[in-house]
Amino acid sequence: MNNPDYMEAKKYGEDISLDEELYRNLSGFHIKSLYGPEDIPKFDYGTDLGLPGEYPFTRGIYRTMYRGKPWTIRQLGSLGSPSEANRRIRQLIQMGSTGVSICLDMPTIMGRDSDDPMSEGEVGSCGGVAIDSLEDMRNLLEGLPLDEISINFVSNSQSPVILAMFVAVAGEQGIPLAKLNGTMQNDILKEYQAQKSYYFPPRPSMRLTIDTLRFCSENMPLFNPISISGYHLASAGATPVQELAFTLANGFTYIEEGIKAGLSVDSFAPRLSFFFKAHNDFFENIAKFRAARRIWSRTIREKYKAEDPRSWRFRVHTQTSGSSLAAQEPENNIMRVTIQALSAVLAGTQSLHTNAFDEAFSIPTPRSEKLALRAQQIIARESGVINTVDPLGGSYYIEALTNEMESVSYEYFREIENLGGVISAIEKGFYQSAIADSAFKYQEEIEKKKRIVVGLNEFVTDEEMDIELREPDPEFEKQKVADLTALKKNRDLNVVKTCLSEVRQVIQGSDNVMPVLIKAVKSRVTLGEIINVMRDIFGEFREESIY
Amino acid sequence: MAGERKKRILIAKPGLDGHDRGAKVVARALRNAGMEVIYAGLHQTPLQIVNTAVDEDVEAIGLSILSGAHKTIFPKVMSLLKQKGISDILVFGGGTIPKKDWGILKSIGVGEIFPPGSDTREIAAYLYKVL
Amino acid sequence: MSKLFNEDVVEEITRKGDRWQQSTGHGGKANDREFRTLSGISVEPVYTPEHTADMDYLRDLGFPGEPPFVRGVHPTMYRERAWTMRQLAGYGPPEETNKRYKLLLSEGATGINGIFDYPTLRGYDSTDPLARADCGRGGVAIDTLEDMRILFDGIPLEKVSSSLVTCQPICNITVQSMYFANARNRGVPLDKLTGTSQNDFLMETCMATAPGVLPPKASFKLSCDAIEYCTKHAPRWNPISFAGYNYRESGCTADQEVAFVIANAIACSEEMVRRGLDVDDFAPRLSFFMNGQSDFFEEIAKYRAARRVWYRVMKERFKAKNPRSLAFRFHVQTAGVALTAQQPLNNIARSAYHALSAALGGAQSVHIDGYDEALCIPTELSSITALRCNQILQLETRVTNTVDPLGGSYFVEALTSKLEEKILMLLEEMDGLGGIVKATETGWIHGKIADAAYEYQNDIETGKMPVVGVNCYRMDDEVLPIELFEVPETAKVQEKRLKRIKKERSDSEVRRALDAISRCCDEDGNLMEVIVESVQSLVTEGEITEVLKDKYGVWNPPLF
Repeated sequence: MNNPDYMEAKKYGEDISLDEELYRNLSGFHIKSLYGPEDIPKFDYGTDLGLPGEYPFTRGIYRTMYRGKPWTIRQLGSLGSPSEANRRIRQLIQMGSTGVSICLDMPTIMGRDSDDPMSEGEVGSCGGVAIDSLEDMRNLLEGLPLDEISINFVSNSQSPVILAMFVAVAGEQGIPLAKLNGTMQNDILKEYQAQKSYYFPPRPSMRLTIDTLRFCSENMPLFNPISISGYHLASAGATPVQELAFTLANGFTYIEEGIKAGLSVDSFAPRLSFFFKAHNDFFENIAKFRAARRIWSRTIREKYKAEDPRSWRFRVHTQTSGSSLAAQEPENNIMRVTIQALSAVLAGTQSLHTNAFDEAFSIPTPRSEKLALRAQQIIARESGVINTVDPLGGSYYIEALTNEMESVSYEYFREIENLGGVISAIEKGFYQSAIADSAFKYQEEIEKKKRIVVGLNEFVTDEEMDIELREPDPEFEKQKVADLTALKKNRDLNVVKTCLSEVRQVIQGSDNVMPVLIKAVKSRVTLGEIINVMRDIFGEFREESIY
Repeated sequence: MAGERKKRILIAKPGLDGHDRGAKVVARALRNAGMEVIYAGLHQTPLQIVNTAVDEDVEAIGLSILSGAHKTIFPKVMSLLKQKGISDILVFGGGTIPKKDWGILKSIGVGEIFPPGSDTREIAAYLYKVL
Repeated sequence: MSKLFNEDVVEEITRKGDRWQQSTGHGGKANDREFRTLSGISVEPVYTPEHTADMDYLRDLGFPGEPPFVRGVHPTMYRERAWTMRQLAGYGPPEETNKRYKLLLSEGATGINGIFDYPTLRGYDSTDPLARADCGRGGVAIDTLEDMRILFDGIPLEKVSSSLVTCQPICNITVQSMYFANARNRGVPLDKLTGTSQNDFLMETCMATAPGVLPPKASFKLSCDAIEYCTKHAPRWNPISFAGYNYRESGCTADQEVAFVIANAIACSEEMVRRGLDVDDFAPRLSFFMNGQSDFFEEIAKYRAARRVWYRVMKERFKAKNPRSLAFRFHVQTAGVALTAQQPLNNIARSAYHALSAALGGAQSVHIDGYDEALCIPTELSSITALRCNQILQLETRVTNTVDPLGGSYFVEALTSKLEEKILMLLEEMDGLGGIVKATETGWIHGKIADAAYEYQNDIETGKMPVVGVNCYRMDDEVLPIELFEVPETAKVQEKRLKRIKKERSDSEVRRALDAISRCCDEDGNLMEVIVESVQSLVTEGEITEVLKDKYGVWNPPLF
């Protein structure tokens, strides 16, 4: 038993405290030992905070926040075939989930049909749903109350086609478009910056995004056509303040592109929503959300002249940090997830996904998924934190941190502007190198033990662990390909051809592509067929690697 | 030793998946450890990877795979190398590769697997040892 | 004066707040129900500088490590020294618990928190007919000095800080004496020992009450004997840990929890002063044991309010000068009563945020309950998981980066002041009753706790207080998915050992030892001075209890 000696020699806390460098948060801000009134010297309550539901929304975007309505518990529903996914989604709804996220399999993400040679071995991969045709969307959504629950499609480059299918199925179910609730991630900018599931160069991709935006603002007033996602930036290595600044800059870019396309800012800004990661640094995470609300509302109002208060509101979905979970001693992840979830709630999120504790090494089971859901219910029902809005408001530390998050964000905005805006910055490789720098620095800190992950680089036990993968089922793939072949055989090829040439025509011009897409998917044209036509015209994007 | 060439390593990310954080971090760590690193970028096919390896005259290929496709991709790369009669390029890997599959991969000639949470210094040390 | 906002600013904010309140509407959905804390304090929809307008920064908050200590008892808090991770452990015979101690220490625990089985806590031997069924349950069984030797075998007493959860003074006076005697036998001087014993007379007379316990006055005397003894001989030992934790588990509210521990500490301090000790000699060693309940912000405010009240009590009533006398130091255990037997892994989420609130409230040490707490003694897995929770909080969440991170929050400051106000009212009420010992004798405390406990239960049953898995989100088909801990056979092991000891020890030495204790009772001397010597004769805990009950009589606490 070496431990008392070990503790004695190490003096635990003391050892940590001597190195001032350690008192930095994930964004690299220096954290002082104490915060007091002197740390928020020019603080003006009315200008900096205001009241909940009022400009600048620092304290929350709704007046009563969770007293009036709890956040939406939105768990990622994954899983295999569209009809299997449908069953899991129903289960989640029955357990008290009020929204659901649907992720796609790798071929669908890359715009390929299940029978594409590039898809071989990856159909149904990563627990995603394979969507080839309208048939698949129909099976996925069958019997779900589309006008009651909110569905979040984790769909990006292929979003115009997925949206067309969603609209077509809702039409079949007799639900008016105006009642459709939900979100399309549809954030192409972060694909170039982090997630890397792009097909076309940034500018034509942006044009497609604006087409979906216009379609939704004209027809689907309750639907969120873009969920501007910092989560992926953070997963790729961006620090919290980079996540904040880059995501907002992307948001402003969509606003500008929309305005350029002739939309009035108030016609679509209220429907833009955001997606953040709840990472491990508890207070930094809270400050990130508060700063985001303040920056968004000020910029949208003052720079883009939006007049509708709904345009000023920064609405955000949050997911706990999958990358912070450890495969070692997986029960520990329940606490990580709980603390991260709590910080998202104290930060005023609109919806929340909590990760399953076993997902760092295996396929979440219904039981681990249920536990993840329960963590949210416990925070909502037992902890009492919902009793008042922005309970941390006024804390010297939180306010100082919020201010610093804000001012560093403005520095990034200036830097991006100097590069000619977000799209130019992408083309110049700015994000690639900024994010790679942060990711490398983080890894270095872990290796030098400047950052601790319990079980990984401290308190390591030699527990035998193995990773368990959601292996794509070859039988499922065979079946999927057979179904698709049958579908392709049983449709009117002339109609398919006409539809595809209409698509080609429209994307060469400047009309909105959505109507022809809806027509095409109804005629059983597949996702891969449509994307291939677009690839043909737009070309493919290749990034230059920077590391 | 005078004139000794830097170790040349190719890091590649095969398959459709675009999660390149790990590949890039390893690439930079190896560079910082004094190696010449060629990063092949995303969405590379096994053939492209092997061709690049030959063109760039590397001593090792590191494959980062997070999609679960390791049991298809590693064998393809190994057999392509064999076809070309190349036996002096080491292949190693990283990513979400279950331990239970390591044996299969090693039996076809893959050198070492580095799972998530590996220390980049260990990867560099390994390469210096075996190359 | 160091007010944070000048009057016209507050006035403007108040005006705007009123307008906001009006336009938000009182009839709205958000106000369908009343929003209250767990202890029943009404919560406003939003807190602004209006709610902290009376706050004077220097007077009411100050700086950490300085009066009134609201922001923390040390200047740098966890930056310099993380809270101690103290996991409770104890079950079965001492050799089994010894193994668990070693496991926890090797996994990074920084102290030992020893719990004892019910017979030991009540002063019975393992062989007592009343004890047999409970032997080894709820803690480790201790009968004689030999058991104590086995329990700490191989653990460096001079390095590891031990907390002895010897709740009842009747148990503490003997078990703590055994711990000290064992240390002396191992050559460790008493002034090198660090640790805490619980030793709270309310535990004997108010909590988990059983008939036939020592009367409040006698129990209180035993408790004070231990404090006096430690002050003189073991200055680094905390001789009492006021068990607010247990008061709370019994059902009282947050403000009662603080008021009762402080009233108890006032009584002890008065008695020590009466015995001629200087307040600054013993007060630095008074420690508090608090409950980490489920209302996140109320708990944080509770710890902060306790520091402010304690500072004023020690400063004003006792004229203490040593800053350590003025600083309210406390250990937190996450609430066992808030955990559920249904869907037990949910308890990990609960305990995680309970512990977080303790950290944000400035605790000196934290014990996190095992997720199987509501079902059994923690298994190895559940107790390691609980320990990991502490480590994750300290090392990953970075909440330790700055002191009192919530300081200044309008809500937290307003709630802190509100709790302070309620605590002061209760203290005043108890003063009026003649102090806490009197309030116990009359059953006043029992009544307060019973009322609060009834309300708590009622709120769960009516669904007013949601508990996930119990009164909402139930899963009726839930099967117990976790491995339960089986208490190792204890009664037989203890019986065998006790038989051997009774055969081997010297009857005349035992007689002499018991006579000395009896005489000390008659002379109203300090019993601990005598018992520390007596236990060397291998006299049993039960034999000592018999003498004490014979001398002081027994008391039946009021039942409600």
